[in-house]
Amino acid sequence: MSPTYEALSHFARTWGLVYFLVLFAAALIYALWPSRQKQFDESARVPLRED
Amino acid sequence: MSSPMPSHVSSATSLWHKHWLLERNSMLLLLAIVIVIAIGGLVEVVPLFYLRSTIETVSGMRPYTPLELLGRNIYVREGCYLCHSQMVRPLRDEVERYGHYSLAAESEYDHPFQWGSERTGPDLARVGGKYSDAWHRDHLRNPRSVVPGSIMPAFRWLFMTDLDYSHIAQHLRVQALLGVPYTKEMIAHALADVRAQDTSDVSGAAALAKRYPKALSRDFAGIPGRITEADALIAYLQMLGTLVDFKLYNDKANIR
Amino acid sequence: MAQARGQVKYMTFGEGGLTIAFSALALLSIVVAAKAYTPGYAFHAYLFAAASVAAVFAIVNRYFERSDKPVPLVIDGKPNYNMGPVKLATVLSVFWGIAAFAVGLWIALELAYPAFNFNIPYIEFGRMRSLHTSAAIFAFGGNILIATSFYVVQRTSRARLAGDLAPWFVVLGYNLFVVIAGTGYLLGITQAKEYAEPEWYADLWLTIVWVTYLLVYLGTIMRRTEPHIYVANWFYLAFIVTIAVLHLGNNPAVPVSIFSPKSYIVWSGVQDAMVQWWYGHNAVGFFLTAGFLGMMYYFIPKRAERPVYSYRLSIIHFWALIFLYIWAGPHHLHYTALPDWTQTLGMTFSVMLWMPSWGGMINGLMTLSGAWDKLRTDPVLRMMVLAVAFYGMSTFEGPVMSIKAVNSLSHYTNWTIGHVHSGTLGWVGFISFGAIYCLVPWLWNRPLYSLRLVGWHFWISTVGIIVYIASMWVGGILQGLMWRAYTNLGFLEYSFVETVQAMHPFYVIRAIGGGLYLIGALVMAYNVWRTVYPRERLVPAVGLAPAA
Repeated sequence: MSPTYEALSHFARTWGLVYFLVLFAAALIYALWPSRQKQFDESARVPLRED
Repeated sequence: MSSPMPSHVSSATSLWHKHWLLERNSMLLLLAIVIVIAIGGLVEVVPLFYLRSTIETVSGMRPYTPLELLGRNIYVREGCYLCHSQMVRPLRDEVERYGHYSLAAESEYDHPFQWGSERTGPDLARVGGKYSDAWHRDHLRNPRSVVPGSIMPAFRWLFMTDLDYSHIAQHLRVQALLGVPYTKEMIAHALADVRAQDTSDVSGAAALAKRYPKALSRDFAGIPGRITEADALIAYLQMLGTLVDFKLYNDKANIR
Repeated sequence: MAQARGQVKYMTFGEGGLTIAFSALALLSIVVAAKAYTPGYAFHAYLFAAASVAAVFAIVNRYFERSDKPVPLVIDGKPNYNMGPVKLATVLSVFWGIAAFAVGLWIALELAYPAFNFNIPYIEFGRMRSLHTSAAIFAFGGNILIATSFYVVQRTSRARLAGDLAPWFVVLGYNLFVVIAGTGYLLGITQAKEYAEPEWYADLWLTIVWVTYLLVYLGTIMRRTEPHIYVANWFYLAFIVTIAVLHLGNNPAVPVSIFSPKSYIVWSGVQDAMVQWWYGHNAVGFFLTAGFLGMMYYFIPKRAERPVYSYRLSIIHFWALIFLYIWAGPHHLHYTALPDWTQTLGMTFSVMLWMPSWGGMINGLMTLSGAWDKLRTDPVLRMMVLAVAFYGMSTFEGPVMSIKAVNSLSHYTNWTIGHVHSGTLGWVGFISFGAIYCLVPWLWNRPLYSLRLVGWHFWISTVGIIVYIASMWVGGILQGLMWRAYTNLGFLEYSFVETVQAMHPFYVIRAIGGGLYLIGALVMAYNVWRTVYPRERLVPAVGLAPAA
């Protein structure tokens, strides 16, 4: 079956939302994961540690 | 103050060995970015490419005549789209000011679309037939002679420059390749059609109108014996928004 | 000497390959020039030929001049940074900035007084307008993005720029593209897609340059000696990759002939509109925002001498921004023939975009917490902080304007112009000026000529921006209201030309604002000039020399 406009736009309207939520959650988890604090602190100082 | 380099990165070769994992991270980052932007864009854009087959129920749309197409190219060249939109929105004041709101089908054969983003000047989606050729000539030569207070530039050079239409068949061929329904016959007659449309020669005009319904043939720029860029541009302006017959158009059937 | 001992100096693969490629391009260009359909296209072909020949000479000349050993990556334990291309791109961005602002002022005058069109085709508004936008975004913005990205990626990776000729190719090739594009508009060569006007051959050339840019950037990150990839590089990388995708998506076209500058875009009508504004809005999102955020995340912490307020927030800012932006394009097409659901989707994501944008703004501003006193003493930092404030302002205004009800009024009016310029003059311009004021002393290793002049630049340009955007806001809203005004008998109250005439005072005020902004930039150019070429008599040591 070749995709129709209705089916595709329906897909975009529903699964687009799910995709967005999953992605946002993934970004939040990545950024807020406690063990990454140290790495982030180090990263933040990169521009200040130059020679 | 300078800090010494960490000892483990003292030479380029040891780098290559020890940091393969981190290098992969930079590729991972790249990959993640590409996936994120690609999916978002695709989900939004792809459905539109299936639009044509399902919703177009208007009659009257046809490809531009060779002269109109060249006129459109001049419209593009002079950057008209930067001040004039070609998209009437379904708002009360716009419909009253400009005419029926624009349909998707009306720009079906537009490569590129010219909806515009500014109205420094008025919308032109339905300017065709609104003014006489003489008005357009005066307006293009000196806009303030017919519209006091206009801030449009004058386009006098269009009347002095002969239209270059020697490659028109190539233009039509490329458009046909992109899906505009130009037939072999249209391409074969392209050169003659340019000349026919810019005269009042009846036989040529009839053949043209058969190939391109509603095509108007006359000396648009009012310079007998010459086909100037102004001829092409006015021919284009005079057909804008005139193709679809709105008496036959069903609003309700086309809600998306 | 080395050769005398029997060691042979070879051309590298890059040198040899590029020499052959440029020779071939020169030949092809001459053939195309000879058979070109239009004089404008022939001119461009000759430009390509001249540039190719110059490139061959430069490469061969460099081969004879250079030593037979490859450039060391590290000298005395320090990375041997490659700052030549950075210097060139910085200077070029100052040059193009002034060109862009001057053309902007000119076209503002054309709108206020149409006599400024002078009946000359090449400077007619419709052609000059593309020149202004491209010069501002791609010439000024592009060069400062290339300059700062090459600087930041080297410093934060602690590694020399990847490639030998490639970084030079990126800077010079990009500026060739700028020249081709800009002269093309004046000659009437355009594909009439806003902010993507250059024709097919310029697009092809840019593709080659841009892929090289991506490779140089990635290559430098890969050879880093710093374990982390600093967040500024994330933004720069997203900018480079996404612009590549957008460019390829928006520009596929079939030329009428290889001898014709004219092409027809593959997309048509609604699809073309959607692809165009998917491109157009993301050009704002990734060229004018992500790239310059990379600048913010490096130069503000560096200048304030403290780390970014929250690194976590910057990561969230990054992902949320790039994800949301990509969907926001349809808000440029509200109430058009684009399907309703797409418009609503675009609106929703545009409104959501407000959150990460303000997250980024807060992150930039709060980096100064505990160091606010520096704003009083350092006009460069002040400039960058005001840039972030403008970023916050225009990323609030944008979502508001993307709401359909608001958009029905604001669309097609000068309000849009005001909004765009609060973003470009305020955010993009000021963060770039800040970066230039930082970069020039660091690159040439001498103090900035005058901090006082930076203060003057700051105030003149700030007043200019406020005059500009205020006139366009008031004018734009007035314009929108006049279009939809009805008399009590139910007729449209104003003819279109009455609404045009009502804009006259605002166009004049706008030109004044733009003029002030240009004066500010000229002050900067003078300051940069005097920093790079200090007059010797200003150096105290000269005073010791006996007078003649």
